Amino acid sequence: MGKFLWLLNTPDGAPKYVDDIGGHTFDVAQQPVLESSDLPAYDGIVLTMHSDQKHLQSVSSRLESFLEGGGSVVFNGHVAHPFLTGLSPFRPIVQNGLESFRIHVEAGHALFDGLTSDDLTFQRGVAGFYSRGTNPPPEGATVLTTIGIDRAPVDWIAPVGRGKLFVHTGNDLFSFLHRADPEGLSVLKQFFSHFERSIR
Amino acid sequence: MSFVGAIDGGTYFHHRTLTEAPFETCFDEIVYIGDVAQTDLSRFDILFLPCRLNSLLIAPLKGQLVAYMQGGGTLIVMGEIFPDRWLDGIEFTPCQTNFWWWITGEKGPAPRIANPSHALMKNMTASAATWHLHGHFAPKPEQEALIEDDIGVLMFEDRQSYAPGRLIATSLDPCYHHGSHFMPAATQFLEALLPQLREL
Repeated sequence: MGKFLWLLNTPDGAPKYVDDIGGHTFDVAQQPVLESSDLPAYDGIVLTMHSDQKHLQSVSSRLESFLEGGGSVVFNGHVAHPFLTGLSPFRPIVQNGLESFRIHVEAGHALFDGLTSDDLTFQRGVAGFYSRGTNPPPEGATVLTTIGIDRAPVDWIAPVGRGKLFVHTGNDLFSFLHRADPEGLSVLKQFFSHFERSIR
Repeated sequence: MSFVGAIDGGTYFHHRTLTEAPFETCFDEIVYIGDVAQTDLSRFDILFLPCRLNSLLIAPLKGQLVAYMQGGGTLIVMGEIFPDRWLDGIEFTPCQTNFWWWITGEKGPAPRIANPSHALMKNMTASAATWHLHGHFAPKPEQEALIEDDIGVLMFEDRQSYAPGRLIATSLDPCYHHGSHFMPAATQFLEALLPQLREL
């Protein structure tokens, strides 16, 4: 059972399904609570595409300590202002037809088990929603998905201290994981289970 | 020529819209959201609020922004900042966003340029304002439509309520889409709008 802090920088709350992801609890709050929250109480911190990355830079030492101590940070978006060691600025792909947008699920990690290239590449037959570039991963990261003929990293996970940094180079990974099982939410549950702390 | 400022919410799509090519030259000075309260806004002729600035962070600045307009400044509020929640006299009705009209064959947005002689509309076209809608304003007599459709107003200018300054607001969210590297019409919208800011 994981406990996560889901941080907002918009006024209207987290997606409704967040309360129904069985086996995990989510505290939903505006981003400034990062300055004062008891972060070690959480298994992971969820950062959305709307994150104020300049503010995240201002609290980077708290985030680094959280990771060092065994917590996980799950980030969605394009890195504009690197706020953690290991993050580098977003690089867009050259958009040139379907194969430039195709998402490849790379072998060797359980986090995306059961998801196919087509699951992630298309929405209603249209490509380009999942990702349009890469947040370059640091050395030592495991690349989970890639985009285009050059297979630029899209989703990756890297160990930081005793914790994990997960990065999705796109707007909202969770909408795709939700769509993979909108009734049972099993894919979302599996995803967040991966970030439960092994030690507290 | 007007001196143009913009508020940066620290998001990646603000970063791309305000500080990267091709629009970075449309702005003279960028103010981070966390610094606005300590900033003398009177040096700006135009103050641009890019899409999806967190209205919970803007609302406490209401007094400062109203004083800015009443001092002669022009405040431009882009989509999804919900000015109806932090300014008086604005009636906004959100709509169920149809992202898929261009796939399903359903009737899509049909905006019209209501005042083609306005400086901001000089290069605007209906097709550049067509991607999807988040809602409509019900204009008051003092709110002159710049872009509208059969349901309501998508962009208006109010030169009376804050005279000698003015408010321009839209429910369209091109900065978010351009900043995310998708939705070509959103980029076309900004190509028509942003170079004209200095002509206001």
